[in-house]
Amino acid sequence: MSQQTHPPRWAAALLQWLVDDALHTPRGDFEEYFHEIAREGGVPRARWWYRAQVVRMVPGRLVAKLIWNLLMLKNHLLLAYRNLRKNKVAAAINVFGLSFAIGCTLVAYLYVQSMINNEASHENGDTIFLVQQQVREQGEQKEVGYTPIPMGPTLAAEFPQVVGAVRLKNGGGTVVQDGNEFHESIRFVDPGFLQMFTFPLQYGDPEQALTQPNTVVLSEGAAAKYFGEENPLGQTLLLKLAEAEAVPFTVTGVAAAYNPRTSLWFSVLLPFEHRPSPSDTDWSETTTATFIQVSSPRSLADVSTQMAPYVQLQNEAAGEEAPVVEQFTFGNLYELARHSDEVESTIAGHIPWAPVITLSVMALFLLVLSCVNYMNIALAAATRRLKEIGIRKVVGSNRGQLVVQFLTENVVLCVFALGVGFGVAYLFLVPAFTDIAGGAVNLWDTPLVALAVFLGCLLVGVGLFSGAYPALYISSFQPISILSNTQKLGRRNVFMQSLLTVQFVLAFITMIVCLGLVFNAQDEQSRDWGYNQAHTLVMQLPNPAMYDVMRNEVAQLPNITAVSGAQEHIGRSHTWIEPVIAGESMWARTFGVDAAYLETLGLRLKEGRFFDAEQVSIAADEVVINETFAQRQGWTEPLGQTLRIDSTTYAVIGVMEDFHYDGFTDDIAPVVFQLADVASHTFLALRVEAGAGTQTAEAVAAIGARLMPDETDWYFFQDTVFDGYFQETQGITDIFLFIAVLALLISCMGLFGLASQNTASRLKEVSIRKVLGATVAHVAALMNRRYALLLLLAAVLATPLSYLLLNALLDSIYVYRMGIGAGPFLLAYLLVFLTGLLTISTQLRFLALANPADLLRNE
Amino acid sequence: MRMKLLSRPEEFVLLAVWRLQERAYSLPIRKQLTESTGYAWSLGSVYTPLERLEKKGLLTSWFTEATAARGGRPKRIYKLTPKGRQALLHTRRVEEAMWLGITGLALEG
Repeated sequence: MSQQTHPPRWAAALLQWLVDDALHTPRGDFEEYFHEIAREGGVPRARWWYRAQVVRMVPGRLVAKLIWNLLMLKNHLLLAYRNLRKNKVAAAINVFGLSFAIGCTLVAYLYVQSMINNEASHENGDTIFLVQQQVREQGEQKEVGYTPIPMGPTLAAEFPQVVGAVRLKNGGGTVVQDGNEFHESIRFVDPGFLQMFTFPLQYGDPEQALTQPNTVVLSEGAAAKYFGEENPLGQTLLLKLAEAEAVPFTVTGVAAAYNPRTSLWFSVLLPFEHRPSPSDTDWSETTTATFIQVSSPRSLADVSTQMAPYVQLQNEAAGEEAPVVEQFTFGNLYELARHSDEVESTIAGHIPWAPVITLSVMALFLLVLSCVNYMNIALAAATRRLKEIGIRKVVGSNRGQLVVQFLTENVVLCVFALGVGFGVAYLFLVPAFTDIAGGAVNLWDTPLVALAVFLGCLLVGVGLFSGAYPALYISSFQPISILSNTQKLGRRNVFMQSLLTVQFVLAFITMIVCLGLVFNAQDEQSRDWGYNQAHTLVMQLPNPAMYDVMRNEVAQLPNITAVSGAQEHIGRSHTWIEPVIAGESMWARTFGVDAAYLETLGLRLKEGRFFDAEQVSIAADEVVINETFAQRQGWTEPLGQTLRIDSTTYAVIGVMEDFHYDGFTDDIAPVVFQLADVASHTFLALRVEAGAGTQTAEAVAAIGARLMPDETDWYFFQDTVFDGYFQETQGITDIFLFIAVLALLISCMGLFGLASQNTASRLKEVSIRKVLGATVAHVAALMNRRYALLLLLAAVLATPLSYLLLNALLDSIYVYRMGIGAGPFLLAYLLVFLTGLLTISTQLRFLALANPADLLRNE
Repeated sequence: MRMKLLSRPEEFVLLAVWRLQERAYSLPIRKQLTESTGYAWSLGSVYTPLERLEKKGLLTSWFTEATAARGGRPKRIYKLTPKGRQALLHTRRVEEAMWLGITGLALEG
């Protein structure tokens, strides 16, 4: 019974919330009256009465509460404004730190968004799915991104839910223009491609563009390359596909600029029927990708549950040898990149996780750092406000009100910092970052709702994280101990000391990691490329005919020690081949060169020999490989081993030391050097005597100006081939340097704030010490010993943590990286200690100049 | 001219407090008023005059110890101040003076 004789719980709770008077009468009366009604009319009636009574009170009490809260808010805002104005230095330090941290976080957010949502520009993405196959090969289950050729049309015909299907096949071809040949990547697509995916056309009609055979759609870049600025619609492009003969294609569309991060990027689009192996019904034939568009995201389930017949069809057609398809799966377009690591041979682009993670982590560190900094300064500044807090408590404000007051001050500051941070990001950080990242991606092209939610969360998160502890701590003091001057704040507070330590640990880690990345970039500049890149002038000629002419011309030049021709050239171009060794195929890069290439480029032979210039005809079935190739094959005696490329068998006659052809971020692939026919040479490399480089370049330029006046940028020094890579690295280095400097600034400003608050609160002590004969140095040492110890502790803690983080980062970004030395660590310590000293020395000046008599007289 | 007369609810509340003596807190006051006047007085309509009368100095109040029937909360007992008694008596005198000699009111109607 007793369970039912109390008033309804929720109504009682509501009443308590509505009527928060300290006098309790209404709540007591309600309860007593409840029991009275229960006695007379029964419990249910009493409960009903109680509920009705409480509910009826709601509107009036709510209005009253609201008015009170607004009045209090106005009061809090006014107080916040006055307090911030009174403490300008602390407020400025906090706003600076927080706003730059927020700005960096915003940039990181925008960058991560643009990297993760690389398909956001496709409007119908939520209904577009890539058909994938789950296959079992030699007992191993995996998912692959390619699909049987008939899959797309079959699905479109059989399922009413499928409103469109587009197949896509990657291929290549050669554009023939004015006697020159340009290799182009080509995507063969079904006519619905331009409707399913959002690629606005600059010229042409997306519905008609690819419906007829022998039509072509170009990207903006390809159109500019072949037709200049004019509108190329209706013009003809000569293309060599599988056939030897060039076929004319009519330009029916030119795409406007699009987000280059989409996995559906293209430079040349051709109708699907022009693909190399045109069979439309063979289930054992596959195509690069098949996309279907369904009527609504939910109707996909209707399709995916009825795929069993096609699994059977596919497995029967493919025969015994092929991997067994277990089922077909569907990947949403928007999600593709996020899962591209799990799917083999998928068209989906990869998310560059290394920079995404690094940047996010660094931005988070900076944010936490500035929040901790805020906490430290807020706590230290509270020493000046102890009296205020004591008096407030004495005249009746309760702890909750004080907490609300301090939090309001904090939120005002955070809103301000958010505003400044947004401004900094908009005006300075985002443009700078976009510039560094290559400028192709517009970071502001992001869903605005998500951005607003992110900023809101950032505000609440930063506000609570930085403000909650100071507000709770400061409001907890007893007025009696404050007003009788016995409250000691912070001097022995372990938490405050730990906060300062944490702040400097974060600052050290941020700086060491950033400096480490900078050191690595420096290290790359001086790293051995595996060959002698100096004193080598390389010409990239428009065609083999010009190569012949040029070779004869340069033979007349003085100061040249070696001349070599090549079809592919290290650092500029290469071709992938699929050599077969003992029945197993592998992928390798190939460079077609002549016999003098080894000597001209200064490549290093590990064993065996390079091609013999005297015996060119015999050498045609010989190859030279790199160390990686030999290791990949497990060859301990690589010389004399054989491999088959297309139908020819080659013998390995030499092994080269590994060399870098693309920068240091990726593994060195297996490399095969083959002798290339002189008729295909377009690269001409000259080894020049030291000191004769400029002179030779001028002579070569003069020859070029005479023979081919229209060509530009056709010769370069070999040691400039990594310039693009280094430029990119330099950009990343700049970002990290900026973050490191910011971390240093925020922490040292925090230190300055703390030290000056500390001095201010100990002025009397210092003055008495000076009167009694203490020297400035002595006093300074006394005041700052604590900070020095904390800095030292922070350095000790940060060292192993930074080492681990830096190591992990370098590993995840670079395959070829520096070993971590003492450099970044020492530099970070030195910078922090020097700026720390500098910060503290501003106090020394004050201590030295202040007259103790003035400071002591104020009471 | 400014009359220092009590309003009717105030007068009734004061009378109820006087009648109830040391049992005079919100609930019995409400009950007394309801029984005597024949109208249903809500709790809220008792709080308001009680509060106003205390502010004017016609009533004082104190808390008793907490009771279980009130969910562990105390009662607030009201008592007339001398000023309150004066005001009540004054109102009664004025009222009686006004009624003096009036007859036949019930007969005509």
